[in-house]
Amino acid sequence: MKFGFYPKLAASSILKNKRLYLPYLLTCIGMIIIFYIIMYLAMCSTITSISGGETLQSIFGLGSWIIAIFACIFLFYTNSFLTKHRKKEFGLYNILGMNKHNIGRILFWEALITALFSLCIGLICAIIFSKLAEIGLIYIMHGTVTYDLSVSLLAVKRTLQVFGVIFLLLLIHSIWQVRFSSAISLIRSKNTGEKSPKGNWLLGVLGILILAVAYYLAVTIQDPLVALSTFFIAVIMVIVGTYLIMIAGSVFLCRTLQKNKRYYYKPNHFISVSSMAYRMKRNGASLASICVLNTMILVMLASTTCLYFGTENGIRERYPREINMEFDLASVSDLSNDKIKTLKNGISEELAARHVTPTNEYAYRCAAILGILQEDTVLSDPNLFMAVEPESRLFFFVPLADYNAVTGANETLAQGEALVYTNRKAYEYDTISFQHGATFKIKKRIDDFIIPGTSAVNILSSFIIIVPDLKAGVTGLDSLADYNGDRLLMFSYIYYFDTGMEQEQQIALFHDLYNVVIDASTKEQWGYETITFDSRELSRYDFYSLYGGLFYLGILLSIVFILATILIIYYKQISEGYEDQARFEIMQKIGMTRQEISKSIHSQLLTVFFLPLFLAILHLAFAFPIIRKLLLIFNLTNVNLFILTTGISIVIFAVFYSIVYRLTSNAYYNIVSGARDNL
Amino acid sequence: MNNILSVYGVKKTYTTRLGGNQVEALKNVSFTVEEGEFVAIMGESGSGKTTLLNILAALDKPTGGTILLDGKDLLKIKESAVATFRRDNLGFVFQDFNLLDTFTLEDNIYLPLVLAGKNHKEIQERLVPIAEKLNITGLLKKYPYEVSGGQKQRAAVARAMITNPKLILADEPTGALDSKATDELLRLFAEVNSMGQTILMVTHSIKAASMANRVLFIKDGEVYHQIYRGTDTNEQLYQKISDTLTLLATGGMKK
Repeated sequence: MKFGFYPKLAASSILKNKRLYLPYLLTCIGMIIIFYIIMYLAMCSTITSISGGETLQSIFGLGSWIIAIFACIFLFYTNSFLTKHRKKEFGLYNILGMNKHNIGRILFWEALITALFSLCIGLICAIIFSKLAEIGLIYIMHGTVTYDLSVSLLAVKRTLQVFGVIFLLLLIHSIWQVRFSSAISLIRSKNTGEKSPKGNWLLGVLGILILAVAYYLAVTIQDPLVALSTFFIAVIMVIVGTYLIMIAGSVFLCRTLQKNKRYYYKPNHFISVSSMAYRMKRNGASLASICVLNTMILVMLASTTCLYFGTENGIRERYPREINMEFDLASVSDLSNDKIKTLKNGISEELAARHVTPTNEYAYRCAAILGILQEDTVLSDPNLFMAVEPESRLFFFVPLADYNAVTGANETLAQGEALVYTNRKAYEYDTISFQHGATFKIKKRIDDFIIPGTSAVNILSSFIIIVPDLKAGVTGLDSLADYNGDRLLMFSYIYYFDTGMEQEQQIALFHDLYNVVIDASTKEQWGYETITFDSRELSRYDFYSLYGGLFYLGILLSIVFILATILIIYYKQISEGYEDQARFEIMQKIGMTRQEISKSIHSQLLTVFFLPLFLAILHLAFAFPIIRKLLLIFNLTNVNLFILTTGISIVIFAVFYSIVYRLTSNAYYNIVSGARDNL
Repeated sequence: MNNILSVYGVKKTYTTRLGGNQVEALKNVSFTVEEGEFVAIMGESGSGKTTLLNILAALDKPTGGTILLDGKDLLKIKESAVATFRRDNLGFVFQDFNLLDTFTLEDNIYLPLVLAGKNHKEIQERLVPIAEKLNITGLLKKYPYEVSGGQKQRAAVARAMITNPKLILADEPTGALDSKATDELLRLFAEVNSMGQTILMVTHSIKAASMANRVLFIKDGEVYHQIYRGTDTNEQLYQKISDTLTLLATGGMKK
């Protein structure tokens, strides 16, 4: 009997406070579901087995930590709201003879019930939804869907651990809050105005500094390979900075507005500004949460949509034609006309034997070397290549004869002259000289050239130099070797063509050819060392599984974050509506009209809504360079597409946001003006 | 003298939510308040005092009767204009102060005028003498939760006065105050009244009522009796009120 007392009391007080508790429980459950699903997808073996799945899973892994941090902040926010509202109840218990220890026990049981309830319901829902999420993901990645319900015990364990810690922290937080306040202060707590946090200037400046560093990181990051981890650091810094700025900044904003007497003493600003100032700490936190969510949604929508719609683009850059062959050759002499003729004939015979006529051929010889561009000089010291530098380039030497042949041009070049093509970063000097090789005078810059697909998708910019004679052009460079003794200059023969066949036939042809081409005797006969041999149609699956998967993840997370945003905004407006009810009642007694209430709500909601959206767009603007570089890893070079998808995402989101605005302002208005009918 | 407020045969009947039982809160109330008067309305709990005050404040509508405030029929004012009318013509002092926690005392006092769209400078100028008189000049920048009940109530009086209302309605203004603060507030009321401000106060404190020029007694929804101060001192009036209440309670006296 004695044992059952506290759990019973805890359970009944949760039931009695269900209007406050329900959103909190829903929030807990929601966060648990999201966390589990992401963890599950990150560990799910069916996804690992799909090509591109592993990359996707490491991204999911990072995502799960962001969710965990987010969940912690979000739950603290809702919980502190809850505790504040219930202090009066605890004060009453205290006065009726319960000591702080007893109240601590009630809090413990409440926390336990909340934790068990939300973890049970959350995990059950999560396991069901995780299957749906998995099916959807596999579908979009063109994998094979299995319909057995699987549970990842590791993900369950991780979820229990993460949320166990969060619930424990929440419990400690509320016990701490109750323990260090007297019965009277507990009873009165609801009426004490929230004092603006101390040292908010320091916090504000700290927030601005952190945000500035994060912005600086985002804007200056050069190397997309480093970008992924930097991006993660920058994201966390932006989150922290946003919270600090919003919490300290909202204090500052309210103070400034209150000091501006002309602005402040206007009917529609007077009430909203003062009630914001009153609750600024919490307002700051919720505005920051909304802002962080908005930023996440925008970044995700913009980048994943861009990736998805850029997939075809990426495929065409990586695979310029339906069948793509890149032969690596042993030496520059293997690039002689005779040798290449043998190779070309070999391919033609194989194709003829299968009744395939290659069309749209694109074939050329080239010699490639990695170099670091220093103004108009190319350094190719092998020791430099340990790290990838921002000014690293892939240099391709292509003989003029091949260039004229593939493009149908009729260019001529004197000795020491060259035509130049660069794919990403422009080159502005008139000459280009190689540290260990020749110097060329740039006769002309050409607009279009299909660079080898494997290099086109490289994050380094490519630099094509069309020279009158390949052998003479690479003199000096061909003797360079790294510390292993491997030659730095690579010789290749590029041969791309279309077949004019259906997708399946192309794939069949590819498989058929593949076995012949990579055969050792063919190798001997054709005279090449290694080959990169791809079918565009076959590889399309890989591309779509990765990009489609990311797109799917982006949409999924966006929906989740949008729901969280709605919940925060709605919850905040509803709860503040109830708080404001008493205030508006007084104002009506003093003589405030319905229109004035409506106006005041309008100006308050407008700030609450559009400040975070504005800051989110600012975050997005600064994140733009870093995201663009991250997209380069996925071989997405089309900046215009990214700008377009970003713009569209912002517009769609803003429209959606306005709808939420209308709904919440109506709900808030109904609560607040309901006071009038109760009089 | 000019009648600021005239109340004729006001009735208020509440219908309980279930069963349709009718409760008569006000049966038939008639009285007038002249300009510059300080009238107290007394009665036990449940006698209809608060209902009457709510009706006078245009917060509630009577079931029947007429109310003229400065010659204007309160019941004929359009719903949309009621709030503005209240703001411009009436000042309120409540038992629980009804100050907004979100505002400093100063801003609380400014509230009705800011809502009326008055210029900030003008409001400030109006506040200075009132704050001086109510002895709250030093407290203006504080928040309601930082000051005592008496100080809060003085701020509430300042808020009621700043609009220069035709009538101040006070609902148990001393109900939440200690005796020292009560004396202080009543002294202020008398002082404000002596400068020509009309005050109508609902109270069940004999002490509060004994500061008024006239005391109306309400019982069972009707004005049962009234006492004029005449030349009585506060103490004499106090005694008279006390006697009246005793008689009312024992039911021995009829008007």
